[in-house]
Amino acid sequence: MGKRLATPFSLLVLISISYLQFQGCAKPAQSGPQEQAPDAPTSVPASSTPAGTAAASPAGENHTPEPAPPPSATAAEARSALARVYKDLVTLESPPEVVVGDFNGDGSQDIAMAVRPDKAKLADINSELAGWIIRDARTVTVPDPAMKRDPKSGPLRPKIGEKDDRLLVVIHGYGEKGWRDPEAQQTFLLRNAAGDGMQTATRKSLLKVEKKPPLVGDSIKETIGGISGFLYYTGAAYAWFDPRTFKPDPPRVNPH
Amino acid sequence: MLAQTQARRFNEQGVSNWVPVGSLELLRLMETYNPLEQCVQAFSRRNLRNMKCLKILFLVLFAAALVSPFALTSKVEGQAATEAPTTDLNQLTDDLNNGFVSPTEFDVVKGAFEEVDGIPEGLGPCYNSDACSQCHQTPDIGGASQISEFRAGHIDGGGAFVDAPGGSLINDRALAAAIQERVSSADPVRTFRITLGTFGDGFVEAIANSTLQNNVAAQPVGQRGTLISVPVSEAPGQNRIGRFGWKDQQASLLSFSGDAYLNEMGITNRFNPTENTSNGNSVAAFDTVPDPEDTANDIDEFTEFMRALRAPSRLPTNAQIIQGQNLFDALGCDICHTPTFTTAQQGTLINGGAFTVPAALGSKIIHPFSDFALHNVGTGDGIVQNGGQGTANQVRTPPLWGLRGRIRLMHDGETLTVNEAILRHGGQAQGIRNNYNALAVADKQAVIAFLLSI
Repeated sequence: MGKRLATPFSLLVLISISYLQFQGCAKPAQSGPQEQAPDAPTSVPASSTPAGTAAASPAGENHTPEPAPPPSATAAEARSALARVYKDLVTLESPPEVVVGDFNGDGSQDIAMAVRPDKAKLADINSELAGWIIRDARTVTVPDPAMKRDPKSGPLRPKIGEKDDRLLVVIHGYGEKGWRDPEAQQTFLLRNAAGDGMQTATRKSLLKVEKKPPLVGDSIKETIGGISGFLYYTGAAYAWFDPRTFKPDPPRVNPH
Repeated sequence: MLAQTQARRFNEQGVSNWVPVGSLELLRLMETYNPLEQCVQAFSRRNLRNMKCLKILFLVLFAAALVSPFALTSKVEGQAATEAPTTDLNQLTDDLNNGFVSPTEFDVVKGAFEEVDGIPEGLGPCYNSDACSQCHQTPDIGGASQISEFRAGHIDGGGAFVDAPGGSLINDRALAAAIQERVSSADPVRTFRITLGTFGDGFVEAIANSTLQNNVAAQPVGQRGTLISVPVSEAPGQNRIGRFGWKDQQASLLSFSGDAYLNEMGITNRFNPTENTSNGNSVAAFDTVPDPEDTANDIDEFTEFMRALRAPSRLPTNAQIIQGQNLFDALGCDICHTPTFTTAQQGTLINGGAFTVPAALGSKIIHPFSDFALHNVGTGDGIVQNGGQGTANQVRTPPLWGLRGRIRLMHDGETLTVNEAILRHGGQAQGIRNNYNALAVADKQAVIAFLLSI
């Protein structure tokens, strides 16, 4: 009788234990679901960027061969690029003063041109919601390691006034077509930046110059107020560099 | 205190623990009732009626054993997501704790976050600040500030970014002038990185890898972000999708705490036991505390504090804000500034298995307005950390929640208005910026009103 009793019960117990063991193996030792591990241990392939852009580090050296000089802009092309963003608020200087280069170091050609503001439309030009970034090249500084600048001090966004007869517009290029691309609409409207004798100085050529700031792209060599210097992109805005104010980085200190 | 907390937290796992425990309890139940003995006794008394009852009991128990794991599992998966608790971003109100820790414990870990460390605690020799809250302070403790860190390096002959000697981070302070770090003209790649807020970061940490990956995969090719997989300090050999820092260089808040304690405050800890140098030169002569200096494991308290922080609240909407939100989506801003995520469910193991998502952080709906991926929007910054050379000019999409509590914008803090921050977008955001630029003034105002409401 005991044999008959033990057989079905043992089967049930065995099945139960087997099932529990199966459950134990099927679940992780720790409770709860496990987060899916990253697909790859290293970076996911970088996203695509517009052709011709971002090929070079904005803050780095360009190690590709010096590109052929970009085709110069005609006055009509410059006016067309200007009107794309500024409409009729500013007009191209006459005679036209236009330079092209990769000023922001993204691998796409940019354009800079001297312009005159329409004094009757200063309110629109100075609008807080304007589609351009207004700066005074003389007050823009490179990132300062001392970090002592009060963000509320200084005319970071100056007003274009009645006395501002001559301004500089820089339009950043986009893709292979550069500043000619209709999508090229990132632009700066700059005071104290449209000098005399503007010409492009490639970053590569300036690397050989001793007195220079950290460069992310080509610069505009020119003379402002009788002083020869150049305009360069800091990564956030355009700044005027006067070689007379150059201070070399202090030598590194080795404590031992 | 920490050990107790962890034990308590482990016990609070609740539902997620029921799956295996439920099955084990079934065994214990069988042991307690000792059915074999009862059966033997029953048959010894030839009580067939009792035997039938026992058979039924066994069958019921067996069926319960079969069904219970599935029933309990579906209960876990069926957790309804709820909105994450928020803070009003006002230091005058006491509303930071999201419930991850008790109010008493929150005060303790908040105190640790605000504690000023000195030389006896291992501060320096090179450092940026002497307390977490020095940088993460506004508009409430755990937020951000105007303080930036400075990084530098150069491009080598092969076109690859190379750190400045001793690392790309150039500390702004030192215990002695002789070891003050400086930047050299040999390192012309330079950038500032503005402090990021940590509100809601516990929820961000609790977003599953797959959620971030699926979100990025759904982005148009032209705007698709880059997710990088980075080591998790507390889970050696384990990687996870990075989500913290301007370069997505950290995946867990504990890893971030250990990183920041060393690199921002100069305090070595169990994950980072080696002191930084000064421009590559040893600072041993100025270092008086044996490594690791964080003997009390302060980094665990910093982590608890950040995990316990609520997400930034949103202002009440009005017609203009709603219009702005609609435009924000229509322009395509929401492609990278992803409005909403839901965190992993309670009980999910994250951070390489080192952390289990608790009830306070699990299945929470958050609105960070970030995809936590790296993008090239034309702003640089040229620095490579642990994402590889391809990420030199990519930065993480900054979460826009709490934007109204900031003045310095973009990664370098060089932009002071929302309009100009949008105008600085290029690269992958070129077309979207142009969409914004084409808006009428009133529409731009609506977009900005929306951005300053989230």
